[in-house]
Amino acid sequence: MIDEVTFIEQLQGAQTKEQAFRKLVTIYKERLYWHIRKIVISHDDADDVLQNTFIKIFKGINNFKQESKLFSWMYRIATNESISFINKRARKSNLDISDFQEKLTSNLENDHWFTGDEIQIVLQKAIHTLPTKQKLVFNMKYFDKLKYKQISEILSTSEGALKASYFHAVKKIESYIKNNNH
Amino acid sequence: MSKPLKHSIDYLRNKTQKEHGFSVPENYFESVEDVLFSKIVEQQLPKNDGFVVSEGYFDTLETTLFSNIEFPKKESKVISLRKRMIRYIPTAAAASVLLFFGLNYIEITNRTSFNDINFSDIENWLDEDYLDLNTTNTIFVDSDFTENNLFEEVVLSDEDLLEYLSTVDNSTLTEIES
Repeated sequence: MIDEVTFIEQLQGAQTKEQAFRKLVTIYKERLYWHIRKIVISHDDADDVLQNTFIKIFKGINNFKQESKLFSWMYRIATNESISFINKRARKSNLDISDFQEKLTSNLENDHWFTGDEIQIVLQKAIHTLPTKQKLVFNMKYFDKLKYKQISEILSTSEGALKASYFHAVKKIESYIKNNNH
Repeated sequence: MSKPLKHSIDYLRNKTQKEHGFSVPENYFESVEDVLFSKIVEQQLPKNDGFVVSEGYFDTLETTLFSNIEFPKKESKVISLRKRMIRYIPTAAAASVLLFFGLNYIEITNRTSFNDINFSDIENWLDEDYLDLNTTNTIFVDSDFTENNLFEEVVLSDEDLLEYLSTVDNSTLTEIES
């Protein structure tokens, strides 16, 4: 595996851009997809947002200043794309964002691409009662096993604030599951 | 990690097995690159096809178009009387034949003899149409026409009888005697 600096140079070079970009997509597509999917819930929406995310990355790669890791930068783009996507959807539905998030998980039982059992449905419903930042932190820490340092880069938030967010998120989810799982 | 947090995370892990439950269509990830690159290429293509028309081209299109089209003039058809007559000859001939047979047929079916008339028809005719008995009806009443009145109660005086007999032809009486 070549080092990140060389890889970024290839991504920014006119001759090497396309080939390097194909490599980038192959490496990160699944991680970014799952990150997006856990925010937007439906597979079709996740697919759309993933495509838009990579298009943004492709168009913006020449302006990438390497102030953060490439991975963090892409994660940030995917997060922003996902959040603006659900905000747009909520506005179109004339719903408050928290009501819209509740609606997103209300039909998981009938989602063809959701194969979880009852406890996974309760878990998703619990996650989607959280404020956006707590939800993101919980997903990235609990499922994606990212380190606070990485999450801090992605969300531009201090590690201390993230730890507090994660703590609140976990306690709320635990309480939700205890109250809603029989 | 603080004790309460560790305790809560352990609880969640035991409950959910760290699974989120989402899945994707089969081979979805294999097609991500191709779909993505076709989108990128599509976005790089120029939005306009580059063709232009001269200013006001569409405003003058009809005028230019119609000036170059020769529309056939509407002419009224002239049919000569001779042609018209010739055209009607077969129709007239057919009508004449039909009229000839038609009239004969009516004449044949209408020829009626006296024997064809029923007695009941004659009676009806006499009763309803021919004889007007209204005046006679006012003189007689029903009782005048009973059997007794007509045959039994006719009383002739001797004078009347003698007068009647004197009018009778004697030759007739002789014939009766013989």
